[in-house]
Amino acid sequence: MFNKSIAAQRPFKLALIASIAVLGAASAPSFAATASATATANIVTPINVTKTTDLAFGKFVVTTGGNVTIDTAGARTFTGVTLLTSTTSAASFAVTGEPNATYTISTAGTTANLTSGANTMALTLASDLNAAGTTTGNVATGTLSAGGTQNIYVGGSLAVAAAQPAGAYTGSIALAVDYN
Amino acid sequence: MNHLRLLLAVLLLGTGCVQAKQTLTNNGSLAFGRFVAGTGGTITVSPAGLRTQTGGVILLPSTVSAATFTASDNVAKDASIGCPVTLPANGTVTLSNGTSTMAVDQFTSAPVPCTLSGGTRQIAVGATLTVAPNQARGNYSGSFSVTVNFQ
Repeated sequence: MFNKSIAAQRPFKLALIASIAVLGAASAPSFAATASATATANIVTPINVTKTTDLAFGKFVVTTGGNVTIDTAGARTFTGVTLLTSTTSAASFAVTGEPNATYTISTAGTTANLTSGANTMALTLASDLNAAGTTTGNVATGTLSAGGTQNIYVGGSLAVAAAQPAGAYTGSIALAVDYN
Repeated sequence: MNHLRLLLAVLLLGTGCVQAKQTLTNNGSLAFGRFVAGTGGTITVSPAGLRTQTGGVILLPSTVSAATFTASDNVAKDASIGCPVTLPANGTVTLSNGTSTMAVDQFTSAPVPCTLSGGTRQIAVGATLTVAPNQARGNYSGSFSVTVNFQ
């Protein structure tokens, strides 16, 4: 029995030496690590604006010359003219887009005058978001409702000269909206 | 005797695999930001976090970011240890708003090549989002995995 155990030990010692040699020659193992990240994107409804009502100063006769004003609620006031019964209105625009989004409002591009042939009257706009009777100043930003809508009301003033020639004067309001 | 042989064998096998702990941690998400789908196109966010578009997609002011990760082997003096990055293959990552999806492909990372400095490295990952014409509005999200094979 004693002889057997010595014989059994020898192969083990050889095997042990062989395995040490193998480990010594091995290159350093490489290790991997993994992580996850979130990716996001937000698509919004395009913003759009359409005209609902034109700005109409109505009919009047020039007396001494002055101003005719339509406020954002559509009420007309005047100096130096006599008003004639006619249809008058503030302009209104309907904005649609992404619920609760904010946006800028610009009227750059609006004609500086109303024109009838060679005759002009200077136009100055006034605007708000609630038809509150504003006569001066322009609203520069808005916020769409939870339903993605908002109205913009535009009134203005005309400078009427004492000798302003009679005629049908027209111009155009250019209203632009952009998400900001 | 048999127990001793077994113990020796286990000790010898154990000493060959001792390493510092390698980690990859996500620090920030990949954000394509806000936009109008329009006639569709693509949006790319570079690893530097710059956003560009092709086609009819209209980009809007918003927060945009590349995804960021920190690779570390937690040994402060380690430099020149490679940290090559494996990114998702094309066609494997999508964003969803619950009903509609968009594919995220062409993943890219920086820096390339990647090597640790002081045992660590910040890695940034960008990609390209494909937007269909009139893609449905909403908040889209998804996730992706990145692997670093420390050398």
